Amino acid sequence: MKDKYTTYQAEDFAQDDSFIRWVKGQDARATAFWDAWQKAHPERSAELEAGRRLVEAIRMKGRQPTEATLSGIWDKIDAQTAKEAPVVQMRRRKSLRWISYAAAACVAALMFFWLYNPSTIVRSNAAGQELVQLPDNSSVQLNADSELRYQAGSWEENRLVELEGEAFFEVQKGSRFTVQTPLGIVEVLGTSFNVYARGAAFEVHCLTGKVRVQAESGKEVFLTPGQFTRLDADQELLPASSADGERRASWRSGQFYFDNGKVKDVFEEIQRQYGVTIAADESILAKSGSYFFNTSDPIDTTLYKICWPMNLKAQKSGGVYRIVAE
Amino acid sequence: MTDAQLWQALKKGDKSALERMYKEHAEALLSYGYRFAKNEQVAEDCVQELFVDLWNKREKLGNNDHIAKYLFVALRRRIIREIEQQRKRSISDEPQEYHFQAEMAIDEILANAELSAEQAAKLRHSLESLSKRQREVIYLKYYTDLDYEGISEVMGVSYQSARNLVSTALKALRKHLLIPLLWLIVNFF
Repeated sequence: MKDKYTTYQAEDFAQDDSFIRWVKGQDARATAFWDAWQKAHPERSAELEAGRRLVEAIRMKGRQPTEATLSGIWDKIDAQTAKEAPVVQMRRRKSLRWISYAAAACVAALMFFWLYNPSTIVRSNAAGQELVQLPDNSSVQLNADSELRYQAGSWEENRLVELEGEAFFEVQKGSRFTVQTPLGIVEVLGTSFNVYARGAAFEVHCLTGKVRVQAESGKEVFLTPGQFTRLDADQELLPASSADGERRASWRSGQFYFDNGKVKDVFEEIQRQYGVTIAADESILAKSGSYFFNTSDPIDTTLYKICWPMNLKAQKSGGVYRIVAE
Repeated sequence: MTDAQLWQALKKGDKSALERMYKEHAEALLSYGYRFAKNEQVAEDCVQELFVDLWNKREKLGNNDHIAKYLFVALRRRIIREIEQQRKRSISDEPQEYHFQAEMAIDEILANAELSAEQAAKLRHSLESLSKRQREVIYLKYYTDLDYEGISEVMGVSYQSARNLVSTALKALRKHLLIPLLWLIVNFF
């Protein structure tokens, strides 16, 4: 029989499965064959050597699974294939029902302890801001009187935080990052953005990257840098429109801008930032306009700056600032 | 035990057959899977689900005398489907996380090849210009026990085009890598 290998070029050798096994030294039969072949065909030794070098040259980067990973996955497979579904047994014999209930309860209890993963809760008090460093170095700056919850234990699988209040996020690039609020969710991959979720208000500003916002109704809006969306009176998300996100997020340095905002919101924010109580008539609170305050000013100065353009003033009595006509 | 016998044992509900298949193939499957997804969890979940499904569907399975091929085909489909679903849910513009990443370890190759700077540059260029299909075929060819028939089935291409993808890559590699070697031999005679 004619030996096909005598006409082989280096790249033909390098594609031959038995030759490859010889080069890799994984297969005794291949090793025996090629060692013998090499001796019998000295005239082909240059091509053979070239083929060997080609196989050896093919190296690829990439990671290998560790032993621990491999056995970990097997354990899960093993657990999931351990028993027949109890449904089958129930049909056959009613008396087994109790056992399957008990089994289900055991499984549920086990799952609970297994999955139970205490939340990390960060709360900022009135008159205080908190800077939260998440496990992947994403950072969250919590405005006053806000709460952030997340699970550090499962952070790598699920970058999810729950927020009530207002926070500014700087998210490290990576998998999906989700902010859940009572009225809607915000999803990003890596970006910075501001979320305001207080009472019936839900407002999201995108500063960099791309953000997906979803309201409870399921409606979603995509934001690019410089855009914002909020819930309207019917709790529906407005289409993305442009807004100065830097300005909106400037609360981080103590500056609060209200463009065409309600006086009620302004006083609420002052209460939060200074930890004071403010009382005013509904007629005053219903007004709207553009306001600004800076927490580097003392409370009296801030109230004065807000009040005097509206011909109002603040009177302090019994720990309460009462807003009255001047 | 041949593949066909092992497969029969699985179909009859022999759990140790499943374990044996896992031990034999999981490492190769997982390192292959890692190359599709930036997120390793995707590959690990898919391998896990693949074996669980295999067990759950064991009674409905046909005959099989090439288990590796079956597993690679199934895993590739699973991962691509999963990545496709993630892409649909994703909000990212950049098409990340769903291409086959099997970069040639160029620096390592160059270090072993003792090439001149110019040759090294040419080799680097030819390696970097390999298409991702070429990389995947080369990966399957040299890092798994699949033959060309198996590879063509895993990747859903014809036998001949699987061969051609590897041949082209090897010729390019030879052209740049083996020059100093051939030069040496010519000098020798």
